[in-house]
Amino acid sequence: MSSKKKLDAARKNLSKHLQDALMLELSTIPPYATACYSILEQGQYDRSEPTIVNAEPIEVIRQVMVEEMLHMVLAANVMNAIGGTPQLNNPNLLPKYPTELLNGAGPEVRLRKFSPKQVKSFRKIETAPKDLRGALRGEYSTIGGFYAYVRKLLEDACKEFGDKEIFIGDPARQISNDDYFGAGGEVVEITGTPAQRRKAAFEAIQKIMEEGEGADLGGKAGDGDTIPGPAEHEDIAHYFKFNEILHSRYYRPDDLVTDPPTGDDLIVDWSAVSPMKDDPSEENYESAPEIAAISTEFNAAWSGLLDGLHIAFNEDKSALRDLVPTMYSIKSLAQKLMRIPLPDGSGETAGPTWTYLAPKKRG
Amino acid sequence: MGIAMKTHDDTPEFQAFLTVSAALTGYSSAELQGTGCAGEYWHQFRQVLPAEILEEFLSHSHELGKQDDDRIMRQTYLSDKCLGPLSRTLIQLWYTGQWVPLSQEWRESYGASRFDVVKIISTRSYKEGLVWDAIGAHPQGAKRQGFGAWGLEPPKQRGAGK
Repeated sequence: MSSKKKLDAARKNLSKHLQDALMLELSTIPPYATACYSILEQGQYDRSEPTIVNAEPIEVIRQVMVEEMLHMVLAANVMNAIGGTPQLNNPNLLPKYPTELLNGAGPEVRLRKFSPKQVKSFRKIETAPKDLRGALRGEYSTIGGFYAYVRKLLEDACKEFGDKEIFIGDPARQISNDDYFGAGGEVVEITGTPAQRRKAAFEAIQKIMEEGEGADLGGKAGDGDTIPGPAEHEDIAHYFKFNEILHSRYYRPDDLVTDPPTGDDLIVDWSAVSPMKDDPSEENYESAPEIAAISTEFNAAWSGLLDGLHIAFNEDKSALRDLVPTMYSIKSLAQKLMRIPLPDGSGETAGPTWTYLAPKKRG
Repeated sequence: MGIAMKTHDDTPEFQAFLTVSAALTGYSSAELQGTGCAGEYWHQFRQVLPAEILEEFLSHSHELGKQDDDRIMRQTYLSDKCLGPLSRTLIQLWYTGQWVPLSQEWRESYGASRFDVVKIISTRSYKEGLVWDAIGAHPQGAKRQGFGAWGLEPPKQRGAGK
């Protein structure tokens, strides 16, 4: 193989894996969002109790979700830095639920209401690999292992061809903190000299790994970041956030990863949840055109969000800003679906299917 | 109350209440249940209405959904001396989350109820009033539309993917 051909092949391989990273981050958002939105809000559950039910687990899941969104932006920045084309609205690549992450090698993710079973499955998604030896050969079954492999691919490519040959993407495509409504933390922009861009790309990948399953953190639950807000306490990796919900207790940043959390109470009420059907699909609504109409409205909003992300990563960064209202529509429509009983008499409610619709099918 | 939300009410009376409400409001029965308030409103409605009037109100539901809903609404419900004021109060309930008491004249003819007082049914009913959706706005202090939404068209006109 000529060196030009080899370089092309290496770039293509890197791009493919970064596209997988993008879809991986995206795939976690619908299950997390569905569980979060299935939690009943004030006035819907127990009217004698004025405090918001389950405010704490809602906040914990929300924090994870916004970090997944940040990770998507980081993955897109790395992909754009090497001259790839992030695809966000290609129906062949988008997840259909239930699905197994990492093209079938990773844990299963389903669309289910907030329950101990579902939160355990979230914890599994964010589980750190035991060791990275297999992962570095491309045999991974965890998200951490996958990113370790991506990092290695990038390292190898930089070593073999030089940073200058790898970081050929248009710097104008980099999403910056000015473009991103940064609820999940700081964006890493991959700009500057080739060496600076390499350094930033590794920083971006590292950030995804640390915030996710929390590998390489020296045995502590904390991930080194602070949670934005008045208290400014140290954040913990996602695995531990889900563990907090299951234990009804917060971690302290110094808690050891091998031990249960020892911090304050985190109050969870597993019964204040809408009885949404597991893995709702369009087939469930075939005999219920009124529900199907609302489901289409939801899917149209979700598709609009994906289209907007695609535009933001490939053409016009300012598209990102306009997506905030779309995200609120998605939330409100999901909650609406989860209040509508299915006509089958099961007592279960409808739920969002998170299906991408082509523009002409959006009603 | 106090136990997990009951989403499911199979009784023919509740289903009839939804069918008439859908015809009166112009929102589908699924949309009405999507507010999460259908149970509370049904409860309020039943508390206020004498049993035989409730029965009369619901008895026309099987005629609905066939084509001439508009005529049935005008002739059977809105122009009726007894059902008309009830229909208007029910429309206001769905749109604003507020129970608007019946007139003195109605009470004198059909009976007064101690539950027939002006009230917002719940914090939820305020947020879920159909009026917000109908005008493309959101209730103040709840269900925010997000940064920059004021520069966009109302949600239903926005179209997806632009």
